Amino acid sequence: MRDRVQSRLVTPLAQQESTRFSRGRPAPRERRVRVTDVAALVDGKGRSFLRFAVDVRFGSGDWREGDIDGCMYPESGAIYVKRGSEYRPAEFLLGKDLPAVTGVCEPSGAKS
Amino acid sequence: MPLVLRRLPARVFLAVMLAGSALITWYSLPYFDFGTLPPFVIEKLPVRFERLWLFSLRVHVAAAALSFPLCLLLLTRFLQRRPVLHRWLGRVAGVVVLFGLVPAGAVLAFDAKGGAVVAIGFLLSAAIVVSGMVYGIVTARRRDLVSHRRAMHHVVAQMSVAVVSRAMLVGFDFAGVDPDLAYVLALWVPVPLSALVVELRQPSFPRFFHELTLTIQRIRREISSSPRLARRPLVRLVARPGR
Repeated sequence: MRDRVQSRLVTPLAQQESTRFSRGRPAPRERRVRVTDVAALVDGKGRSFLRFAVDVRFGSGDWREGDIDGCMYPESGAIYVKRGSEYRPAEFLLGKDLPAVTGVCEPSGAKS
Repeated sequence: MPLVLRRLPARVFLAVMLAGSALITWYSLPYFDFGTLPPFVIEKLPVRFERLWLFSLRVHVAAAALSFPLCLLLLTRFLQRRPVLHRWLGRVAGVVVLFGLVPAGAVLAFDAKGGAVVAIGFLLSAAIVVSGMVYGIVTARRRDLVSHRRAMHHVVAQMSVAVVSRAMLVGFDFAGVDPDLAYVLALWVPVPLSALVVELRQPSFPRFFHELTLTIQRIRREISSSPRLARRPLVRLVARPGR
């Protein structure tokens, strides 16, 4: 799973980042993917998923944990990332204006 | 000193700022691609009033792309020697700054990265721009060109923060400085420094500084000539108020 998040989210993110003359945050020097669930969880529609976090590091500083929080559905390969209290498809971070998806990445029975 | 050398710093400043303004405009073009989200927008979302924020961002960027180079050109002797053209372009710049750049920037300031410290920094810069522009218009109408020049220099100095701040951010990134700290420094160093530089460059500043020095010397003389004050330590004066 870590490899899929790496290849479908982290690598494309790093590829589209460059030094910009803007007030935007600079590109992190390093990113790492952590799978935060030991076992797969099941959402309200009975689909299993695993949550992950992407940590970042700027310069030689400490790792900043949970720069991106999200989840992945191993069966479909769909990746969602958390923005505020909502989850959007991972392509949102790559520049696609995609709306939030309800009911994903939330274990069944959990209150959002 | 030859005239060319005396004018060199101002010319270098104009050239660097025009180049910086063009660079900012170039990197801001993705904000007007309505089909994709640029990294700065992705980083900021979600915000409280998303449509208002996005609209303000586009207005602010467009107003800055127009008004900053225009204000820089208005500082050139070429335009200052053509008063009618200078006046009309000045009116355009004034309207764009007061009714586009600053209100949109103020909306963005409330959702700025870095919280209240950064928001206050942006609002301080906006306040200097507004007061400078309004005072500049009033003094231009009074034909008080010395005060007009000083006021407009403050406006351009605060606009130049956009370029200086981004250059500092790039430098801090290369140096590996924490981006949150870099963001605060890249705002709070150039904003007051730009205002200070404008004041230091005023022809009246050496006279003001000379008068200030004379006043301080006079106060010191008064204190040292008073035996009662000279004998009594300052700490006791402060520690026993009213005696």
